[in-house]
Amino acid sequence: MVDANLDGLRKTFNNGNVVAVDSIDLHIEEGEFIVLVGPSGCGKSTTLRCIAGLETPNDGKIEFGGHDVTELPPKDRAVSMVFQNYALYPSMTVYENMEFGLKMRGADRETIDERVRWAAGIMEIGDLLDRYPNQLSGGQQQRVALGRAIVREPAIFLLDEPLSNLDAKLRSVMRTEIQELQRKLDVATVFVTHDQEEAMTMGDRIAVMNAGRIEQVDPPEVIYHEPNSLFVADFIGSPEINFFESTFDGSDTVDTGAFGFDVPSEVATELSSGLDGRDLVVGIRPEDISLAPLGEGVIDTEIQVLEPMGDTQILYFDIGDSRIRAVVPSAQPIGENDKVGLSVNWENVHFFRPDGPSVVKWRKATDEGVNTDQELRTDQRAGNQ
Amino acid sequence: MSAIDQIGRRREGIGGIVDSVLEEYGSVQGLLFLLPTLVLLTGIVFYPMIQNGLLLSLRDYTLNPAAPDPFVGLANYEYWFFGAGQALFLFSIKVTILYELLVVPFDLVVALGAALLMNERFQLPGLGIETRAFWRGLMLAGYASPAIAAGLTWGIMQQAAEYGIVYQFLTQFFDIPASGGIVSNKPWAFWGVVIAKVWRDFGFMYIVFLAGVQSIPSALYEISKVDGANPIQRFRYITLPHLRTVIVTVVMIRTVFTVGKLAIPLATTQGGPVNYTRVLGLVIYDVGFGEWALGRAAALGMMFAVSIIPLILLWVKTETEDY
Repeated sequence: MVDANLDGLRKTFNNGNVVAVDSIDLHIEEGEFIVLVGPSGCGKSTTLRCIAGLETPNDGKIEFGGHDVTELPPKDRAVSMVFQNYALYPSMTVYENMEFGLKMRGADRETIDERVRWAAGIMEIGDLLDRYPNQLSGGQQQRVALGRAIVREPAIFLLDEPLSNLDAKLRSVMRTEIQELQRKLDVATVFVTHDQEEAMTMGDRIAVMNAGRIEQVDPPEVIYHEPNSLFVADFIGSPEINFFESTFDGSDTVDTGAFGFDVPSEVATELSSGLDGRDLVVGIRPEDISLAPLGEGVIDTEIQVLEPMGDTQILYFDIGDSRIRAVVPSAQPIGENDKVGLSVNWENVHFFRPDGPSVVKWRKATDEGVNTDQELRTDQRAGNQ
Repeated sequence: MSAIDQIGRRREGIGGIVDSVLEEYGSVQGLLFLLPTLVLLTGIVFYPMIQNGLLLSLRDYTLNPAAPDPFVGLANYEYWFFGAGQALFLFSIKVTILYELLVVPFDLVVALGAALLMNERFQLPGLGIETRAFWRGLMLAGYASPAIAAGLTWGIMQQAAEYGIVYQFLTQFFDIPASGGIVSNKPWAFWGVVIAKVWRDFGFMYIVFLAGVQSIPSALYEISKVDGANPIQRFRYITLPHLRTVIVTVVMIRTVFTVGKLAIPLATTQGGPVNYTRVLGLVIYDVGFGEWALGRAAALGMMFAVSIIPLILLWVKTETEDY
C-alpha cells in the first residue's frame, strides 16, 4: 500500500519540439482510484507511461511511497499495467501469461502456482488457463490481462484505456468489475480514458487533461457541477454543455445576442470582479434547459432534430449561429419542427471568461438558496427576427 | 445433383470422362477460361519437362544437328548409378547435402542478427534514425548483386594475393596455404563458397525477418519490461515465438531454392580444388555444357528433380499448415 506523487512532470518528444506532458503535479492517495481523462493527444497516456517507467520524464519527479523512482526501470517499480489491446503474449497460454512476471522475478513454482490460481479465481478465468489468447473472446482477454496485472501484487495499478476495445455492453460490465476489483485490492490505481462517461462513473477523483496539462482534479460530481474552465465544462457531460458568447453590461444584465437576462447582485459582483472586460461565455447544461409554453420562456424557437433516448429525448435548436441541445423527459408530446419556448434553470448556469477560466456559478454566488422565479427580462430577439 | 448421389456411381467410357470433367469445371466455358493458362504452361513447363528432361535423358544427345541422337534407354542413368560417373555422383550428393546443411542455418543466423540489429533504435552518431534507411538498404546489397559477380568477387578476395583481403584477414587466425589461397585448398575452399553464398543470399531472409520483427506489437515488449524480462528473455519469449512461422517458411524456401543453385560455387571455386566443392547443380552444368553430354546431364537433372520433390512437398505442407 503506497501512494504516488508526481511533481512537475514534463515530457517532450522530437528534441523538445512536442511537449506531451507539461509540468504535471498530481498526488495519488493510497488505494485511490484516479482517472486521467482528456481528448486524444492531451498527454494522459504519456503521463501513465512515465509512471510505469516506459518513458523517462525530461523534468520532474515521481515518487512511490516517498521513494524517488523517476530513474528506475519499469521492472523495479512494482507497477503493473493493462494495455488497451491487452498485450497478451500470443505464444503463451493464459497460465503462462499470468505467471510470466513472477517467473521473470525468479519466484518459486509453488508461489507462482498459488498466486496465478488466486488471480484466476478472482477474475473467474480458472477454466481458461490452458487456452491461448487467440482462443479467447475480447472480454476473456481483458480478464486475463487484468489477472496478469494483479498476480504480482503491484504497488500501483496502471490501466491504459483498457475498455476501449470492448463492445458497449461488455464495457459497462467490465467497468463495474474493475471498480470492484480495485476496491478489493485497495491499490492506488491510475486509469486512463478518453471517455468522459467512464471517467465519471469510475473515478474517486478525475484529472481532466488538456494539451499536456491538468485542468482540474476533483471528485466526479465537483468536476460536473463546478468545472473550473470552459474546457472541463465542455469535455465532461453528455450531451455537451451549451455555450453562449455573451456580454455583461457591468451592472445586472447579460446579453447572449439571442436573449438577455438579469443576474442577481451577488452574481453581478462576481462578474464585475472576475471579468477582464464585458465579454463572457455563459454555459448552460442541456439538462438545465426545459420546455415552456410559447412566449413564456426566455426564447421561442423551433425543434430542429429530436433524438429519442428512451426515458429522455435530446432536442436540438438553432439559436443565433449555434446549435443548442436540451434534454427533456420523453413524456412531453413534441415533434421535429414544433415551435416551443425554452426556459432555463438559472441556478445551474456557469459563467466563464472567454479565455477559459470559470468566473462563477450562479448557485455558488447566491449561496445555494437561489430563487428560480427571478425577475427575468426576456427580449426574445431571435424569436422576433 | 447432390454429392451423396454420386458416391458409388460409375461412369463408362469417354462420355463418362467428359461428363465428370464438365461437372468438375461447371461447363465448356469453365474449360475455355482455363485454356490460356494451360497453353502457356504447356509451352513453358510441360513441353520442356518432357522434351528436354525426360526424353533427353533417354538419348545419347550431341549438339551436332547432322549427327543422330539415338535412344539409349536407361544407359545414362546406369552411367551415374553404376558406371564411370558413380564416384562423382555420390561425392557431389555428399557435398550438396553438406553445403545445404551449412548455408541455410548460417544464412538464418546472419539474417536474424541483421534484422534485429536494423530494428534497433540506435542513438549513436551515424547510426541514428536519420541514417537508418541507408543501413537497412545496405544490408540488401548482397541480395541485389548478381550471383556470378558476387562469386567472382569473393573468389578474388579469397586468393592469396595482396588484393585478396579475405585471405589476408583469415590467414592471421588460420594456417591457410599461400599457394592457392582459400579457393584452391581443402577444406578452406568449401568454407569460402559457404561464406560467399551466405553473403549473397542472407538479404532475402533478412528482409522477411525485418518485416516480421516490425510487425510485433510494441505493447508486448513494454508489458514484458513491466513484467521484468531482460533483453535476452524478451527475444526468447516474444521475438522468437512471433517469428516462428516465418522462420519455418523461409528456411523451407531457402532449402528448396539453394539446392540447385550453382552460380556461387561456379564463380568462386569452379567446383575445385578438383571436385571438392562440386555441388550437384554444378555437376549437371559441367557435364551438360562442359562435356556437351546433354543426355547424361539430363539424366542427372531428372534424378535431381525427383529427389527434391519430398522437400517441395514438405514446403507446401508447412505453407498450408496453420501454425
